[in-house]
Amino acid sequence: MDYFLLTLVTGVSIGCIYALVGLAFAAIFNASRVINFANGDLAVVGAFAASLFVFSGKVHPAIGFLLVLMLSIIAGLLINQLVEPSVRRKAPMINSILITMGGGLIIVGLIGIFTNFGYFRTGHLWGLKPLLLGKIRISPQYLAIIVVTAVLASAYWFFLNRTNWGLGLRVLGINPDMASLVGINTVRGRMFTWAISSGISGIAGFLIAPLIVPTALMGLPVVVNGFIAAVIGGFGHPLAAVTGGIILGLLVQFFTAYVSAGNAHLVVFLLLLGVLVFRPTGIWGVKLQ
Amino acid sequence: MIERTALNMKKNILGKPLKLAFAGAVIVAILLFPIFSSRITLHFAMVGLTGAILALGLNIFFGYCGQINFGSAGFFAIGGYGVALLDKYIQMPYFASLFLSIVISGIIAFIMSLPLLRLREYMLALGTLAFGMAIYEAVSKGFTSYTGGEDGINISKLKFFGTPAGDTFFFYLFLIAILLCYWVSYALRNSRTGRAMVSISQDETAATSLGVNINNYLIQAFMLSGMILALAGGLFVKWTGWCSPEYFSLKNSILILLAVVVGGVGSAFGAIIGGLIMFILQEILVPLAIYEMLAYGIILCIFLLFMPKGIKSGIISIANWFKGANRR
Repeated sequence: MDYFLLTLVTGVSIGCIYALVGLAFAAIFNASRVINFANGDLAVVGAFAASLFVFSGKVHPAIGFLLVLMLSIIAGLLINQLVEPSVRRKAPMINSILITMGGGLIIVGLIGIFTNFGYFRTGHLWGLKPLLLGKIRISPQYLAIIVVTAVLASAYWFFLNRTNWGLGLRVLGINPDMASLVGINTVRGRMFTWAISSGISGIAGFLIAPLIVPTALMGLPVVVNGFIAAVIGGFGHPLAAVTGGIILGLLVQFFTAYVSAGNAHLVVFLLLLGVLVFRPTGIWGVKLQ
Repeated sequence: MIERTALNMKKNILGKPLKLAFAGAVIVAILLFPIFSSRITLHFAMVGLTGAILALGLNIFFGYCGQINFGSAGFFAIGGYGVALLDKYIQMPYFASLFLSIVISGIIAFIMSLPLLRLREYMLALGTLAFGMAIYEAVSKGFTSYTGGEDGINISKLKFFGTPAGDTFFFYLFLIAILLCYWVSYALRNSRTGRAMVSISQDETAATSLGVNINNYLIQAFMLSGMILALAGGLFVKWTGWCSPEYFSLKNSILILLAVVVGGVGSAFGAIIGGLIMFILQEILVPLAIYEMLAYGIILCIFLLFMPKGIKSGIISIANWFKGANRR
């Protein structure tokens, strides 16, 4: 029973990381119909910045966290500058996908040169002593991941659906020409969403760093699983991304724990194929205009 | 106008024999290459030729049909592991196993195309990416008792009447394979089927309205692409004598994609050039492995932003810019 609960908690919190990256995908997609394949690489930036500022203990963790956020946002805005021309001339989506990928490769390449593709330094900000919630033992890092995901996802949902700015960004995604006609600054709007999205990715990287051995190459599984999470839930909706992420995390953890470790990815692929074939709009049935 | 025609005529009269002589010299140089080159340059050349076959394979789906495929290393792996497993468990003769694994790859491509080709754009990118990663995980971590996991599989040397075939033999074999694939691509491009595929890449709605059965053509292109990629896998693995999962990681899918972008999307000859450039570059970068990702990122961005039609037109436009042709 203990093992089961442990797997459950791990699954939910790993799923929340996927959910955060899925949320970052959804954020950019909602405002500019670009798929940002560099999301995982922005998470690497977050983990790397955290190793420099937060876990090294040179500055106060709060300031370190702000620096993490700032660095990942700057990296995201740089990629946005690369993609902006092809978004503006409405080039085929393949172009923008490949350019984000190239931008991500450049950023990761630079970090890799800096760290020689070795491990980043990590630490345990909240200690290692597990907290007891009823019968469930949960390590503080996992709890932090779950809480941060819940807060960020609901805040982003509120922003997108209940504020004027969110409405503007949704219009920008649906029809950029129309958006500029009604007075929305399209360039600034896209920059703003990229900032939000890369901030979320950076936080995801910062949160997952203590749980794995972070290297410059950790971005790929993160980005693929985040994307899969977003698709399973329903692409474009923030809360759907969270649902998809948690389902994915639970599936991977339970399969690894009870069936076999090596084939977890095969099962994820089959699940993805099943969702894509039988319910392409995802579990939530998100319809894009 | 008249001047220009005269100039063109002059160019043609002067140009044709020169061009023929140049082409002949290049062909002779390629044919004699393994005799005069050292072992290490031959090794680079072989890797480049593998890349050229791979790029030709992806070019049919990505270049002609304009559909994205991030899982091309998956088919590369099917070809490689097909040959390796057939060699290890039933000692099948090499060319029979190569043929069989190409057929298997075609069948797998057909089965995968049924769900995958219902997707477009980013969903297709994700689906194929997941396919490639699933194959990679399956051979490296999943079915380790058959594939040997990270250790890979040793493959017996190809022998003719007792003497093992060396690099020179494989060089010519690779050349024949490239010629074959190039001919297939070229003939396809100039056929009804190829024109239909290109029309899909330009506008699917218009293509449908002209009676092009999009799904049918995409499945054909996906299968053909998968078979050529598997051919490259089977050749490459037998040449190295070792089938290891690291050849088939996602990095190679990206590299193949890059090769097509560098050569010029949709051009078969460009794909050969791009494959040669990218895979030889990758082999040169092995000792400088930490700069590898940065180099790929920069190349990808430069080509997509400034030379979207590939290296040939990129060089031409740079030359024109220096001549001042664009400033008029």
